Amino acid sequence: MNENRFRWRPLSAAPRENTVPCELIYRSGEFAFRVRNDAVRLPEELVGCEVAALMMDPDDVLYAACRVKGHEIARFAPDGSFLDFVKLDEEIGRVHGMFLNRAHELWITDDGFHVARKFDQAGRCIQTLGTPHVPSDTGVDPASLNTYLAYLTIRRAGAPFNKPTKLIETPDGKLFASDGYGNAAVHAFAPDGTLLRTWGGPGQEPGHFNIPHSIFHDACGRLWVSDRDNDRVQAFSESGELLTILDGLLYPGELWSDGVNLYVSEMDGRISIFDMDGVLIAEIGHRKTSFSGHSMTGDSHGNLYIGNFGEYPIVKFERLREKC
Amino acid sequence: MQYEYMESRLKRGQTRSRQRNLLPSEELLCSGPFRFRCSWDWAKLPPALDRASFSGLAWSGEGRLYAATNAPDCPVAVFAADGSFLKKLGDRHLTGAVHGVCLSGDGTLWLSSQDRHIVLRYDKDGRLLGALGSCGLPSDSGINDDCAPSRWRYQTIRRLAGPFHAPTGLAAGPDGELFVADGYGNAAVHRFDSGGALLRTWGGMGKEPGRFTIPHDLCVDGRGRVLVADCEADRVQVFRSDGELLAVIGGLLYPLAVAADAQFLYVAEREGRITILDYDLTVLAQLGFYASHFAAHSLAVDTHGNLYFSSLLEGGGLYKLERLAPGTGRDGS
Repeated sequence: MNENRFRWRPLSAAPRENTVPCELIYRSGEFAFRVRNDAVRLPEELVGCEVAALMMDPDDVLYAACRVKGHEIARFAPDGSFLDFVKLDEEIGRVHGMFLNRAHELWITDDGFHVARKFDQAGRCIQTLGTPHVPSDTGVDPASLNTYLAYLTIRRAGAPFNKPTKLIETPDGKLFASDGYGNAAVHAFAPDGTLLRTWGGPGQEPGHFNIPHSIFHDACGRLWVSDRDNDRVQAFSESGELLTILDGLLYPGELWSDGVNLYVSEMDGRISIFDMDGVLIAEIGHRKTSFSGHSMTGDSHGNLYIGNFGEYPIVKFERLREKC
Repeated sequence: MQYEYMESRLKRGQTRSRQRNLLPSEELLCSGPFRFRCSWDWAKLPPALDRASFSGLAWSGEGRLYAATNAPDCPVAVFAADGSFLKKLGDRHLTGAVHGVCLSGDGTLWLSSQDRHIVLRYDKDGRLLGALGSCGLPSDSGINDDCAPSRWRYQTIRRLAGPFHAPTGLAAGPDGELFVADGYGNAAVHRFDSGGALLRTWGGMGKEPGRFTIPHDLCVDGRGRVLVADCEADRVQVFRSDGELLAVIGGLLYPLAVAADAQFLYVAEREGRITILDYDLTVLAQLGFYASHFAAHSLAVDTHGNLYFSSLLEGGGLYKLERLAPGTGRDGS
């Protein structure tokens, strides 16, 4: 049984399944979703775990990055049944981010060992960015690095990496990374790993970060950085110019886009939906819902999946389209 | 639930997130023949009640919701049907920590005081009329009040005691009688007549039918049956008004509150669910599911079948589940 400290602590010994099922439906704007806690069926090794990252491949196979030693990468078929694990040949300190590139290679961002590693489909590590076990110098107080308050002591945006959160690859091979719990930076790399640029800095001003939690490259070439503890998502060009800020979010975990809309999973319980111009068009849930979307992805049918830090590690939001 | 990363938000102080949704957004629960729309912003809480928890709820015949609160200056808060705050009742110096609240047909308001071990009685204008029990003197159930952890303290109860030892929920019967769930320090249900005379005490600590392991709340249904939420035993027990056991409803996820209207019985379960039964005790619907955010400490139902509950989640709050007509659309419409 996996230790997930965000799970509900029960007092009851009664059976947990409802005898009469409950459908939970959210409607906002043109969107309607039905919540499915049971759509993705976890194998025994993953029951109760924390799912740190999710990503779909073009065939709607779901990849889940789970915080279970030796079973970090799991794959699920489009119908939600478990397929297999991708066994990695390198130890992962703590999995935080995951990205599947066009060649179906996996970038795993490890905020325990301060590295991002690329693995092929056989699980062989073929590239590493960052120095294993060596956090970069950002002025952060080392004694606080084990807590979530570390970011308050960061003095400057440092070199890669200090508890990096996510590394992604653009269709033409450029690499960008959000970095992280011990840093306040976004880095751009050439495909061979050469550092091209670092931008950011600690704080609340535009262009600065208080925990850059994830990064997404959209179809228009914009980089969306979830600036979690500032309750906002910031969009940058590939050369680091600030383009726009989506403000007022409830602790954004991740932004995902299908090229038509932008979806932000908020860890305090909501999914906010924006159009490609950054205008808010729908809000799914509210500040009290029990979803804690640490990560999010979507499939080709408009369904959303969140990596939930709570009782149900993967929650599917089934897109409903028929109206009566 | 308090997540570890929340400490950083609390340390930072003011957050810039929009706590209230800006756009119209609906949350619908569909189970069995029922459809409800959850209204999370129903209660217009004044600042003093912003993070209060509400341990007892009662719906009055005049269309108002009475809520027992833990806010220092406000033992009972009264809300109109649209959620606007009307007034506060009671003097905290006299009431102490209020747990339950109920109203009888003539408008009499009853409050249970968990730490004074009494039940206070007010008229419908909020004037104090009297009290039942002995103020400050818990009845002698033999419980070891120093036993830790407090969750298991009830297991040290030795005997069925009279009123009261940390009373919890209360309910009025059709003829003005009062039933009191007693409570955290006793394992009893008491029945009083409309004049306040004790008619009967039943229960005792235990898992056998007819006994209780923390009777947390109770209600009276349209047939005069008394339903008792026996939370540590994951069950609701149904009694005749004289204490005779009629039935036991098991398999509940730690029931903390019960309510009844003319047609249905409602049970709020701590682990995130509200179960709806008919008068034959058949489960018709379940709103929510294990570990959902529909984790309630108290529950009330109004004359239209709308439900009101207080949340156990971090930040507390008071919410309404609006009853909708059964729909036919697959998307909940």
